[in-house]
Amino acid sequence: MVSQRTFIAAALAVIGAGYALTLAIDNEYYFFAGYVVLQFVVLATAWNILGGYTGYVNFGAAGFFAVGAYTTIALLKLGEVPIYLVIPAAGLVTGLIGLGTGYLTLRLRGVYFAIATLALSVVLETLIANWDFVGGASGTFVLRPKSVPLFDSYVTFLFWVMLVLAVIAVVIARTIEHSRFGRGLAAIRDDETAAESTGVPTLRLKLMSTTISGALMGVAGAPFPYYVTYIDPPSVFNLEISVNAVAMPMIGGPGTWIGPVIGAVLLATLQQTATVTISSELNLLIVGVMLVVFVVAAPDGIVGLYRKLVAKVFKQ
Amino acid sequence: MTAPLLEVTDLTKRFGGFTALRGVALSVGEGERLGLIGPNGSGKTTLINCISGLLKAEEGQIHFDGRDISGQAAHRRTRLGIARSFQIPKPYAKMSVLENVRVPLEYAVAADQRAGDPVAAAHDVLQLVGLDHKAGALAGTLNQIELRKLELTRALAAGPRLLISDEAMAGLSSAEVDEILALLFDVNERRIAIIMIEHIMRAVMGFCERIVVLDAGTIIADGTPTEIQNDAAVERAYLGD
Repeated sequence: MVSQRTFIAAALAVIGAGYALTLAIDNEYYFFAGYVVLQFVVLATAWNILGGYTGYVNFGAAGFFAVGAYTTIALLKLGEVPIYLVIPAAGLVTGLIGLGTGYLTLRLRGVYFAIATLALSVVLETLIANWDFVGGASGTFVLRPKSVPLFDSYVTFLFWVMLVLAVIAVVIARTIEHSRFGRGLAAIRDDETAAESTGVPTLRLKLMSTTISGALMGVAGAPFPYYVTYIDPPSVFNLEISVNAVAMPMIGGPGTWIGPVIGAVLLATLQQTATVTISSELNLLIVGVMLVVFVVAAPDGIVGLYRKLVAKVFKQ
Repeated sequence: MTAPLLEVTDLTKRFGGFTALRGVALSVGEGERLGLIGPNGSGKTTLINCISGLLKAEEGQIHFDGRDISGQAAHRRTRLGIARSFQIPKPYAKMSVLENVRVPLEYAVAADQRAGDPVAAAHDVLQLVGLDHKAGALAGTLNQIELRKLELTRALAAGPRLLISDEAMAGLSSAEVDEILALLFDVNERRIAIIMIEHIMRAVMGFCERIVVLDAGTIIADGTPTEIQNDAAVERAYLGD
């Protein structure tokens, strides 16, 4: 296993390389598309902390994402709050929502928990749609700053911001995975009763998991208003976002930090390519078909397939 | 006589209209080997679920080491020294055998008593049980006897003063039963009290110093194996009038 120090050095190198790319490549479209891919890396990684590590399926990722985006809107309505304050604020708000959701729903297991998270997303959408301060049902515009220092355009800047967030999310996920906390979550996932009986404070760990997962989802949504410059509730409380957040880790390999990264890069790139070459209507179809194929043929995702292959090779 | 390690008083547990335990009193001394027997559905597993904290009883108290633990969550009781195995093994299937044992080592053992190297500590416990050769295997791939041993290993890793073994030997061959018995004797050597729930009479009679018989949620007999074997009420409970 790569040591934590090496991993963080590599993570910093990725951030540096990302910045170099924004200077080297002229075509802004790549960053426009790349932003979406990275946004899904954050979302899928966030989902995986609760879904893959802890075993609780959250079907309301869009709700957390949207509240993240609307935290940005609310703060911008109040004044010129800079983006580097908006993002942690969004994480704080959705982290608290995650904590609250966990407290209210974690007595539910399996499919009932999933239904409750879906319902939460609907409730949040209704609240936002009726809150005129942030634009209500008719939505609201965001004015981007004309330029940012050190970057060619605002889109390349947003791309780089999302890259930093993706790297942070992945480092958090990987750190959890290899920690005592992560083993406690895995024990809950595999058998909650046994976990409690081996000394794991299951309720507390589950609450920490919903909080971290929720916070990262909100962080993924916080820069979104700058990216699209206009948002209304349906554009962020979007089933496609929730489905992607579930499908990407499942396809990549749930329960591993690299799984959601692989799944998000693969699926989001496919979707972005389909959007410009065929039609954006294809996106959900791609996800749906791939999810069915993987759930049936490779329940442990691409990472699981790879591990099986390695095991086979070593046996011979 | 010193105060008992575990003292259950007047315990009543209901599931809706059904009373699973009615005014049960039970005590276990330090390092004692106690058998808990009774026909199917007599409340044995419910009783140990109440003792280990997975179920909350409506009435009655549970004292452990002189402390009232009736209101404590299961993981706290494990930390205090009550560990258990499950009748139907509950392995952490997607984790390795070593990681399975690492969970109680890291969570049940108090921070100041935790081994510096949890991996080495996990190997030590696995060696004791004779499961160390499987340390790297996924727990989901183990066979029945290995799963039973893993249940016991995980419970032992928690560093208990009281080990509750819930039918650890059901469905095992005679030789495998002897293997588990030898292991439990070893454990008991280290002053760990054991409550054994078992249907295999040879095992219970040979292992336990004292046996408590539960029938329809009440205790109908409490005595040495010989006394229990000659008890008329016990015979009625098992065989009918």
